[in-house]
Amino acid sequence: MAQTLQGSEHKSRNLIKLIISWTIVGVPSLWAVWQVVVKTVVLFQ
Amino acid sequence: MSFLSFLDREKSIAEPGYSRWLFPPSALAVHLCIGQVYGISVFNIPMTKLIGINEPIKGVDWTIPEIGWIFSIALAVLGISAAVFGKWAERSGPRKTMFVSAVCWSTGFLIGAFGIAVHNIWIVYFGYGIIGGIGLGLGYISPVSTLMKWFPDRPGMATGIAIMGFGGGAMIGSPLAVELMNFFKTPSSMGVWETFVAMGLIYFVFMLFGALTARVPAPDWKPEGWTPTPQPRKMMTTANVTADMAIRTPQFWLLWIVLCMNVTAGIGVLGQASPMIQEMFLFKKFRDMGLDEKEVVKMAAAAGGGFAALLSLFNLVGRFFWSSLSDILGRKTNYMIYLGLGTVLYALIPMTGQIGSIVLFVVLFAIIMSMYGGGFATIPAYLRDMFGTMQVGAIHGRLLTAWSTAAVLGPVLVNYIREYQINNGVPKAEAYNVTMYIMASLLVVGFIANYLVKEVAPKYHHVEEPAPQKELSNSLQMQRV
Repeated sequence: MAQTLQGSEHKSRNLIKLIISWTIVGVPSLWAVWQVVVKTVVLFQ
Repeated sequence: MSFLSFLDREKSIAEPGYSRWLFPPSALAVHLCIGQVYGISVFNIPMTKLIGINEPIKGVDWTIPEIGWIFSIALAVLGISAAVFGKWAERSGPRKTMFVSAVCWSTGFLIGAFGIAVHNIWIVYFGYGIIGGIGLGLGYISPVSTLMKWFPDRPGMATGIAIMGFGGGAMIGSPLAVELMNFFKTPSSMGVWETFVAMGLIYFVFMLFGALTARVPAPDWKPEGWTPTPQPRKMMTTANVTADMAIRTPQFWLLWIVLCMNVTAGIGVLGQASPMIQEMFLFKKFRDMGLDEKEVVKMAAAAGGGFAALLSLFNLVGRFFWSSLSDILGRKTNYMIYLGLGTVLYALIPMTGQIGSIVLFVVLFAIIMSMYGGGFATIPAYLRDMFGTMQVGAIHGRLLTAWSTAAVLGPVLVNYIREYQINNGVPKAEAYNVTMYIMASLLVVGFIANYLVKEVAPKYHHVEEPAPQKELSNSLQMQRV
């Protein structure tokens, strides 16, 4: 029982770390992709 | 320095239960920053007007060729430092290497800022080019080799993620630099040195996040539910080859040629993409629309910029897509596609000009650029298949000298061939045709080199020496006898 609790606590801590880490690198990356999309629209206008 | 001991490899071994998907963001944090080097050209025009502000002052302000050397030096030092410090990086682990990379990259910006403020280009060469270049080399190889250790089941996909980040670095760095320069610009300053300081600090914090969160797997770690196949695929070794031994194998040099040819062709046209589409299609298109000449130039430049941005996006997506596909097809097959299909596509480019199809031109270039990126991203996994994981980072570092060579060769080839043709009366719109055929022939050379790659002979394999303790007990036993 204690082991299962510890395991699920570990999993949720991992999940939080995953969300934070991927957000930190994901937000600037998405911003960059958006910049490209905006510029590319001009090409096909 | 004991206060920095937390950076040691031993201190960064992941505890049981650590999710391996936490490492790619660490790798990306570094690659997204150092990838800015490909966006350095955004400073070209402002740097030519540091003194004149509104217009460059001839003989006082820097020229574009002088500024162009900043990029070339940085890329050359990237290859050299990756080759020289590769073994140290492998020994020290990703955390220490990424930390040193962050310090060098950020210091490079700060020294560069000082050089710009006092208007001395040699200081910029030294700062951004050499110190920053060392940061580039260390930052490039370290996360890549660690990713392959975390993802032994999907090494192509894993390295694709990091190297995709490098491709994305310019996409973040360029608009960020533009925003910062606009922010810092005053009537007496172009805002360039201030932007360098700001970017140096921003990148340091971002890379520090990557370094501090980096973990290496324990030596006996393997992904849950994954067992290495006892009989590995053809062209995939279970043995290890040291970096010193690898450079004595024909496979290393064949792969060097493969990378050099693929990158020379890609880098050559990447820098020319915007003027190429303008001269081949856009000027004519906008003139036919009845616009006046000033408007034509303005519209063509904007659309050309859009095309270059689109190619960057395909370069980025290709890094992930093709390297992930190599886990299924095998590395050699992937390179056969890059180089074989690439040859055909390059050779077809002049035809798009003749039939006047801008859509076909864009599609062909998008595929070419995706394979150019794929070539970068698949090479670490190819090296792993050939030489094992033991010193793959160091071997990768040495192979990156091919990139440095290509960084000089590609633009020089494209620019000189074009100039030569225009001087001989070839119309501007057709001046790229010969270049495309030369690029296609470079890919043929790469194709042949890749075709010749075979498994590394066992004589080059690393043989584990017996542990010293065992040796000691053996010698004691012998003494007793």
